[in-house]
Amino acid sequence: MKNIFFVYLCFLIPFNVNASGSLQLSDLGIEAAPSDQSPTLGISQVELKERHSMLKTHELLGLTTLGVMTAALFSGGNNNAHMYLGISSGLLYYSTAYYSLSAPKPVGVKERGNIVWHKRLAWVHFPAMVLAPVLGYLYKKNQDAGKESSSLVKQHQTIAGIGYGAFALSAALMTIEF
Amino acid sequence: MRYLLFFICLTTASVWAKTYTLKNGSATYTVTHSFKTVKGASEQIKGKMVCEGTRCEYLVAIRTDSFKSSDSNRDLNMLTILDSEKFPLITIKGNFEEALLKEKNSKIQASVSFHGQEKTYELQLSEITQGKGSLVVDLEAHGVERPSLLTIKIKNDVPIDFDYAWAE
Repeated sequence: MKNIFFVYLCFLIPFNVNASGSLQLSDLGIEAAPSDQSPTLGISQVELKERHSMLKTHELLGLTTLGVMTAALFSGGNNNAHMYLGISSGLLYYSTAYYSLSAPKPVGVKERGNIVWHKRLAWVHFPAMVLAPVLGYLYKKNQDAGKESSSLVKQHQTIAGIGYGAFALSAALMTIEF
Repeated sequence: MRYLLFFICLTTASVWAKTYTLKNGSATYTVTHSFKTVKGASEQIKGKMVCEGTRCEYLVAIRTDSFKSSDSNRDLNMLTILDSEKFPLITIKGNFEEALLKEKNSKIQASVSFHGQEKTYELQLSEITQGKGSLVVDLEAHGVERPSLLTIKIKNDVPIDFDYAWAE
């Protein structure tokens, strides 16, 4: 009688054992505890947050720079307002660049999307932002001294315009992204 | 003799359990904003499913840093927002009646652990063993601070679509 009971049990067990909630991450070959698994980008969470914060400042300063640059562009001519707006644009521009260049960088990330063109455009607006203030200064100095400026110095407006265009496009590329 | 029989019974039960492994899988999120829609996908998805008796249990894990969208800068921002070092995995687990294995267009419960917080969703599947599935994640329910663009935040509901094939 007892054996019959056990045979009966034997048939019952396989059909009544339910999934017991026992699957673990180790069953998937993930051995370490989740908190021990750091991202493989060579950058810690603290650095990621610092990077995020610095790039937010970079974004804010960049948009402010664009506003001041626009004002400088429209105030063009031989007046002090243009000069002061130009100086402010330059200072803001280099502050913007500082926050981008000094932000922690991840390792082994192949850049994709708008950031690629955002960085490529820096090769246009950065030289322009080095040359434009120098040429502007020389142009004003020559004008104050009553001298004729060289053909390169006369290109201050063109170079500043090219720099402004590249910078505005670069800013727009990142502003339409999140 | 009785103990031997009982041992055989238990062994038989475990032998009869069917184990499935996720052979191919991908997960794609869709983030919606008033101005644009963005998708990001991961193929680094691992999963196991065990069917014993009348029920099946499954567990799926995806690495947060494995999602790639069209913009690498956005992906890095996502890692910051999701605290990926602290919560490197998104896990989806649950169980269902084994009978559903043969059915199409089933809905099963999925407990999703994301950003350190667990919430249960309804997972819609074309077929259990292979096909397509989807669930809609509530970002704020998981304590995720929604990113914004021009001061407008992305939508709170983020659909996640799955392509998968389980092999026994």
